[in-house]
Amino acid sequence: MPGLVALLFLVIPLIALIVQTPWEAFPKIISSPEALEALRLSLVTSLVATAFAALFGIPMAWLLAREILPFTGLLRALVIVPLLLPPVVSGVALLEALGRRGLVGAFLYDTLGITFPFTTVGVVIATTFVAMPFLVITMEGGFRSLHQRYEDAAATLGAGSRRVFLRITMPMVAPAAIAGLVLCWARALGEFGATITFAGNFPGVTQTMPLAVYTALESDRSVAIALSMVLLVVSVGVLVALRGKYLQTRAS
Amino acid sequence: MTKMLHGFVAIAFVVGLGAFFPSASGAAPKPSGTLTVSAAASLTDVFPVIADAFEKRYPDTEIKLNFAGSSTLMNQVIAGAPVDVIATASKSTIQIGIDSELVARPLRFTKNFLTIAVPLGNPANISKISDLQRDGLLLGVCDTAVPCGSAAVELFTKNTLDVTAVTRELDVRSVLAKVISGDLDAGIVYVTDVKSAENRVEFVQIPFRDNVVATYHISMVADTREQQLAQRFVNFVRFSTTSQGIMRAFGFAKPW
Amino acid sequence: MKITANFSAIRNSFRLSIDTIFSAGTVTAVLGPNGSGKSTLLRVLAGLQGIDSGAIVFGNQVVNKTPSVHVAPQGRSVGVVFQDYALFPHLSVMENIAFGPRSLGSSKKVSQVRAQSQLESLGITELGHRKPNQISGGQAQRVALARALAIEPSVLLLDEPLAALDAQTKESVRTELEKQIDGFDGCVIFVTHDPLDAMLLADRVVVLEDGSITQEGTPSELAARPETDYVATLMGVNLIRGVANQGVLQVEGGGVLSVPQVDLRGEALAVLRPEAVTLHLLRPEGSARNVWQGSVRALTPMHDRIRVSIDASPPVIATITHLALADLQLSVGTPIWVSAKTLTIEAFAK
Repeated sequence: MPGLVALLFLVIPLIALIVQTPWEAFPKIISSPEALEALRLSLVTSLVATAFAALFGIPMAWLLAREILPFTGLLRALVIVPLLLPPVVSGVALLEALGRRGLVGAFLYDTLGITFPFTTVGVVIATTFVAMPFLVITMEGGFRSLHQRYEDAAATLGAGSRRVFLRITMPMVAPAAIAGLVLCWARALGEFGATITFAGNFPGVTQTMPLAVYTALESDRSVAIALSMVLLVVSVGVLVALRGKYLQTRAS
Repeated sequence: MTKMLHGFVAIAFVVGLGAFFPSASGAAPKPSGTLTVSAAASLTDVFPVIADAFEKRYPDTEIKLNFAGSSTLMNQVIAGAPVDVIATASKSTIQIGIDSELVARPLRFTKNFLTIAVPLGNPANISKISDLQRDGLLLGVCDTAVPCGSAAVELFTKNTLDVTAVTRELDVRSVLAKVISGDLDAGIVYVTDVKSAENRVEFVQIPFRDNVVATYHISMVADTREQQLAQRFVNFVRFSTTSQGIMRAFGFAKPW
Repeated sequence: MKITANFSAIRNSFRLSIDTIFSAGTVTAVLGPNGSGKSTLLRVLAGLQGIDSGAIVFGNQVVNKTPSVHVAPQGRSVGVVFQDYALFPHLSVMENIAFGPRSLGSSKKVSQVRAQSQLESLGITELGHRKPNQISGGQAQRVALARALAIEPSVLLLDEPLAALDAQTKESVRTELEKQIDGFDGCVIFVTHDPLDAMLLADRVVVLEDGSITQEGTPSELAARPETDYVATLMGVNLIRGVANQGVLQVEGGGVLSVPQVDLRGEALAVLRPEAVTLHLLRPEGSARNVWQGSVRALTPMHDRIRVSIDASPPVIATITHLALADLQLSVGTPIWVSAKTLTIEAFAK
C-alpha cells in the first residue's frame, strides 16, 4: 500500500503536466526560435558536460576505487559534496572560484582576459560541476566490484596501464559506465540552480531549457508547460533508447 | 481518494473556526490573527521592518512574509497559494489577477526609480547612461517578465539607447549580487537596492527626466479569510507615518 | 633462465622473506598452507607487487633492486596463470589468447596466428570463438595456460592451477598440465597447498610457512626427511624431535626411541611411517625395541584404512586395516600399547 502511494505521488505530477499541456499551441510554442535555441543549447551543453565528466571523472573514479591516493575516504567525501549541495550554492561557490574576481577567475581574467560567467562555457562548467559526481560514484562502484586480478592478468600479458584501462577495465564496467553516463547526462540536462547563478540567463548563450521554463513561468504559463513537456519527452526518450540497447548487449 | 480530501477539508474547517471564535466573542474587536503577505523581491529589506512595526502596534497579530519576483508571486496566487496580501513592483504584473478578480483593486503605496549599479571602484568607468552602449560591457538586467526588466527596457527606449545585456536575471537581487561580486560591469537595479547594499556597491545616478518610475501596488487577495486584518495592513502600509517613514529611510519615494 | 630471489616484501604487516634460486628448465612447486605468502611470492615475481628490500634477478636482468629498480609486469616476460584463471569475460577465447601478443606489439594478424597455434597445440581449436562463460573449468585452465604461453615467456607462474577444479576433472587436467609444462623449456614456478600436485608435477619443492622458506628439496627428499610438522603432516608421516646419542633418541617432551643411526649425535629428527606402527591391547612380547603406552585420541577413516591418533610420549599416528580395528575394538580413550621396530625409523640431523 505505501508502495502504491509512492507510485501515485511520483506519477500524478507527470500526468498533470501532460494533461495541462496546451496541445493546440504546442507545435507553435516549441518551434519558436527561442524554444529551439534553448533546446539546442541544452543538448549541446549537457552532452559536452557529460563528455568532460567522462574524460576526467572516470579516471578519478578509478583512482578512488583502487585507493591509489592517500586519504581516499576523505577525497571521496569531497567529490560527493557537490551532489548533496543545493545547486544554487554550487553556483555561488563557482562564482567565488571562477568569477571575474574569484579565487582562480581573477587570475585568468587579469592574465588571459578569460571570463566564464555569462558565457556558454560557463554553463558547461556549472553543469559539469553538478553532474560529474553522479558519474564518479556510479563508476567507482563499478570499478570496485571488478576484481583486480583481471587488470593484473592484462598487465602480465604485456599491456601498459592505458591499454589495460581501455581494453579490459572499461569494457568490463560497461554497465556501470552506461548507467553513470545516463544519470550524469540527465542531471546535466535538468541543471538549473548552478547555471542561473554562475552563468546567468540570456537566450541563445546561457538560457538552457530549464532556465527558459522558469523564465516563461514569469510571463506565460502555457509556454512553460509546453517547454517542460519537451524536456520530459527528451529525457524519457533517451532513457528508453539507452535501456533498450543496454538490454540487447546483455542478452547477446 | 475523495474521502481523504473531504477529511482534509473538514479538519481545515474546524481549525479555521477555532481561530475564529475568540475574536467573534470579544466585546471590542481587537485586531488579531495571522496574515501571509507576498512582496516583490525589491521589498526584501523594507517589508520586515514595516511588518515589525505593524505587529508592535497590534500585538495579537503576526505577519508572515514571502518574497519573490512579482510575477512569481502572482503565479502563486493563481495557483491557489494561501496569501492574504500581495505587494508588487508594478501594476501590470497583477493585471491578470485583477482581470480574473483574484485580487481586490490594487493601490499604489510607493515609488522607486532605476539606477545603474556598478562594482566598487567602478572598473568600467560608467559615468552616464549612454555609457551602457559600450561594446564588450558586461551589463546585467532583469528579464522582461519581471517589473525591473520591463522598466529597464522602458528606460532604454526612452533614452533611445542600443544596449545589449549579457544576462537577464529573474529578479533584481540577482542582478545586484553579480554586480557586487564584480562579475558584471553594470546592472540596472532600483535605487533602493543600491541603498540596501551600501558600501558593497556604487551607483551612477540616472537624471530624473531620463528615468523610469516603478509604481508599487498593494492589494488584498480576494478570498482572504482575514479580510479586516488584511485591509488594516494595506492601510497601514499606505498611510501610516511609521510605514512611510520606514520606506523613505530605505530609499523609496512618496507614492504621488 | 635462472631466477635469483633474495628479498623481503611487506604487505599489511605480513612479511615475506625469500632467499632461493629457481633454476632454468626446472619445475618448482611452492608448497605452503593458506596465508603462508605463496601468492604474494608469485605477485612479486610477476612484478605486480614491489619488494621492500633485496633484489630479484631474471637471468642477467635485474627486475627488482631496492630502492629504485622495479620492472613493471609487462617488461618481465612472465606468463601467469591466475587462480580462477581470470579470463577476460568480454573477449572470446581466441581474443583472450591473442591479447598478450597484441599488447606486446604484434599486428592483429600475427597475434591471431599465434593464438591459433596455441589453441592447436593444446587441442582446443573448437573453443576459439566461445566466451569464457561458455567453457568448462578444465577447458578454462587450458585457455589460461595458452594465454600465458602465447607471449612466449621465459618464466611461467601458476597460482593454484588446479584448485578451482572438482576432484574428477583435477586428475585429467593434472596429467594434461604435466605434459604441457614438461614441454616448456623456461623456468616454471607454481604455488599449491596440495602436496599431491607438488609431488606429481614438481622437480623441486619449496616449502613456505609464515612468510619464510622452511624446507627445499626434491619431492622424494621431502617425503623421506620432512623437517617441519607441516611437511610431515602433508607427507603423512610421524616426525619426532629429540636429541640423539649412540642410537638412542631422547624425545622432546618425554620418551625414548631406539633408532638405527648409531653415529648420529645431537639434535635430530626421526621419521616414523604410520604403517610401521603396530598397536596392541596388551604389552607386546617380542623383538620390537620401541614399546610405549598411550591412549586413542582420534579415529579417522581413510579410503582403505583407519588413521589412529595416539596420545603418548611421543604422540604418534598409526594406520591400521579395518580388520585390525575390529580385532582391537578401539574407540576414543582406549588405552593402547604402541610398538615400532628400530629399523623402520629413520633419524637425521636437524
